[in-house]
Amino acid sequence: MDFFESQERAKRNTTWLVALFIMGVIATVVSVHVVLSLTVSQGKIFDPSMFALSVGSVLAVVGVGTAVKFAQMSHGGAAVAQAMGGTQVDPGSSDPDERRILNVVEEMAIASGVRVPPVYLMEDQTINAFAAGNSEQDSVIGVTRGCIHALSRDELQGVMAHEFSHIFHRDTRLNMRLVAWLGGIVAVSMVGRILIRSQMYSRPSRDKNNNAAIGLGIGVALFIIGIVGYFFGRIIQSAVSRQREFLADASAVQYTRNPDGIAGALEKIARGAGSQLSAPAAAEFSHFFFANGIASLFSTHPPIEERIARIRGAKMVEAGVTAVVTTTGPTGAATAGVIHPRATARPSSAAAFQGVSAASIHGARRSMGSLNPLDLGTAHGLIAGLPESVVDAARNPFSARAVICSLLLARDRRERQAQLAGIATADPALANATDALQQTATITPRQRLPVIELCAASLAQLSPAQYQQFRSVLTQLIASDSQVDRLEWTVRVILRGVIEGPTAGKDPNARATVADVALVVSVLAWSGATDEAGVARAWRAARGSEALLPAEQTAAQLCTLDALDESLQRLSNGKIGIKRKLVDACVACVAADGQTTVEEAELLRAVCASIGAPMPPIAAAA
Amino acid sequence: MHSAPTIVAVSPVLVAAVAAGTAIALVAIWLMAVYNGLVTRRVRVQNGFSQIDVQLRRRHDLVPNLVATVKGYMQHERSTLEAVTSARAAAINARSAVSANPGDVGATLALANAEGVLQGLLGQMMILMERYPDLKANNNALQLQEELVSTENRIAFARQAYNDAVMTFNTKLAVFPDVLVARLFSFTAAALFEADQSARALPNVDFSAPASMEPPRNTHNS
Repeated sequence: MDFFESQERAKRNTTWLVALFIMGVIATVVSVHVVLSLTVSQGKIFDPSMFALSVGSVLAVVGVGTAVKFAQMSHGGAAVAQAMGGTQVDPGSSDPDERRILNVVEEMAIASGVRVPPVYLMEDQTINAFAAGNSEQDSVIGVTRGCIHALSRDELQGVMAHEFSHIFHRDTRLNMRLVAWLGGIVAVSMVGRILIRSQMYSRPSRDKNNNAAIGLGIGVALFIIGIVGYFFGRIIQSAVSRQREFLADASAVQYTRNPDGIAGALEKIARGAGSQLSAPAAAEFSHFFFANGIASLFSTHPPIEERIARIRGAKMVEAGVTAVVTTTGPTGAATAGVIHPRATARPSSAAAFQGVSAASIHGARRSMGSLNPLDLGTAHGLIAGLPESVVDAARNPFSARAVICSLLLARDRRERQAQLAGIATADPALANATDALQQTATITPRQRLPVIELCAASLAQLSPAQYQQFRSVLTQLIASDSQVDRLEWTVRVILRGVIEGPTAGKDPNARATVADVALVVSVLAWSGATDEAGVARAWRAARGSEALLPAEQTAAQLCTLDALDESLQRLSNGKIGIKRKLVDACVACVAADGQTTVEEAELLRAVCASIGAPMPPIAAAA
Repeated sequence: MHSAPTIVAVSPVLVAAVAAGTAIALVAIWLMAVYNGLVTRRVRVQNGFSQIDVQLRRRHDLVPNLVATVKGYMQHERSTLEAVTSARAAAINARSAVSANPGDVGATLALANAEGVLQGLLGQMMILMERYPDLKANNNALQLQEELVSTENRIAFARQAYNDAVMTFNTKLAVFPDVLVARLFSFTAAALFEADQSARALPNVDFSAPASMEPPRNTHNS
């Protein structure tokens, strides 16, 4: 399924969720009113003041409960992971188990064009994992200690592919909403519990016995109503969740072409390692997990045996298709590690001078929001091809900043010195590290996006104060540079999307229009062509894809960095439909002349990444 | 069943009771929100500490290599090198005390102090190394030195992030009304990772005597 289609579907599911939630609230109001009428008003159903009271109290409780949860969820996946007691695995860790999970996650992220999500570890010996987040930009992966300890690399890869599927299909976003909405309804049962408690502890005195009995009755009733509401919530949850689990399992097989990985992991859980978590928050977040996180009547996941059977069943079908693609054949326990079709895409300095074929651009567009073993191999090669000093630096928050700064340095020597002096006034150690990096390591255009994606997990470790300081250093660094070239645009665009996230703009509520699409496409057209005719040809191709674009491209002098920034900002907050139009127009524009350079292709990927539509690496033509 | 009281008589009391129940519920929701906020911030503190810990381990691994490499050159600085080695051992002990008892204020402070001593001595050792021109030709020593400097930077940065997290957590613990919830669930303040000032007065390294035995001309040539 196309990336945008699955996003649309996730959005429809959210709409359904909201509708069901509203019905749930109405049902709760009515039942609370009936309970109150029967007990307090002695069966007088049509008592307006009583009705006002039930509506008011239910809305207050549900409203506050939902608001609190929404506030918690707005902090993104990290908030969920931290509520579960997870701590972030240091991206530079040298512990073998931790290194393995980090490498698997890094490869998958780079293979699919999303930033590397921070990995959170929960000290729990059972096998489980989750993904959480509102978008690709704030997603995190959580794993248990048992998961990284007991699973082989293939099995880990299968589990991670499952989790990445949840991120791509926006299941994580849906899950976040679900927690928030359910939080409100659960709050009603909490009132009931409190009423029961307070009535039980209050001393029975004189005539109050009667009132106490009624109060206790109300408490029990509210408790039951809340539980029923919760039960309905869980039905919604499992209705949504179970199907998504099958889809994620299927996607994991599709991404890795290795049913043994994910099935092996599930078998280990079934064989006794278990998946039940001891963290107190586990019930609330149970639908986030890879396997059932709690033992309960409302299972959020299909039975493990059924999942294994479906995966194993899918194996037969998959095998026929994959014979063409994979080079290593079925990966058993003996073949440690991933499939490495290295020959397909070895990054080298020569890659910068090779072109990119139109077919591979369209191919990358089609595999948006998914993964395949070839891309995993490419990602593996890309990371392996990076200078060691850069990889080491990217995996630590202090030096990851230096990596980003070094990408923004001007090519002119004197200007570069001035930029470094500028950094030094804010942070001398950072300036030194940046200088050392730019002298020792070169980063090719093709490596830029992967490098920034790698840095993202480390930069997630900055404290808010450190982040603010880094932001101001970056702003100054960008402003200090007089010339603007395509490389810098690429870096800027990626930074905006990958590091700063979608909320960085001045006016978050501004709506994206066709003019914004036109501007971004024009930037690509102007930067890709060598003459006016080339620009016109690229523009015609873009119009062929998106007829709503104006007849003429936006004039070159209007295509400034700031304008591009603002347009991308609006687009990244925009509707899924307009994002799809943008991506398709951009792809058509870039692929038009059949003379696409690696730099152009990377600018295209940067644009996609910055609006939350990850595009896998585009293979350079051999 | 009780004899039914008249509607008019009972309703207001119970209406008040329901309203009170709602109010209690709102307070309970708020309580949970504050509690969750505190837990999240405490996890961030732990997170910050594990960042420092990773870099400390790296420093502890680097030190013996560096000492072994420079030993042959710096015959006259034996006392400094020994001080560095024993400071490293003390820091490792302090580190394992913290991992045995994470979040313990006393242990964290002891570790910060031990690391402060080690850091100070390493700084002195680096200064002394400048006096040995032969060392500058030793690639291995230079590389180790460079790695140590970069580790120092990373430690400082991780410490800053950790202290930021501690400050946020401790502030939340101390501010009304959160302080009530914190007391109720007996949250305790986290310790800043900072060597106290007295520890910065470094122990017995004889700076002047042995170093001056080295012909000073050599150093000036470098």
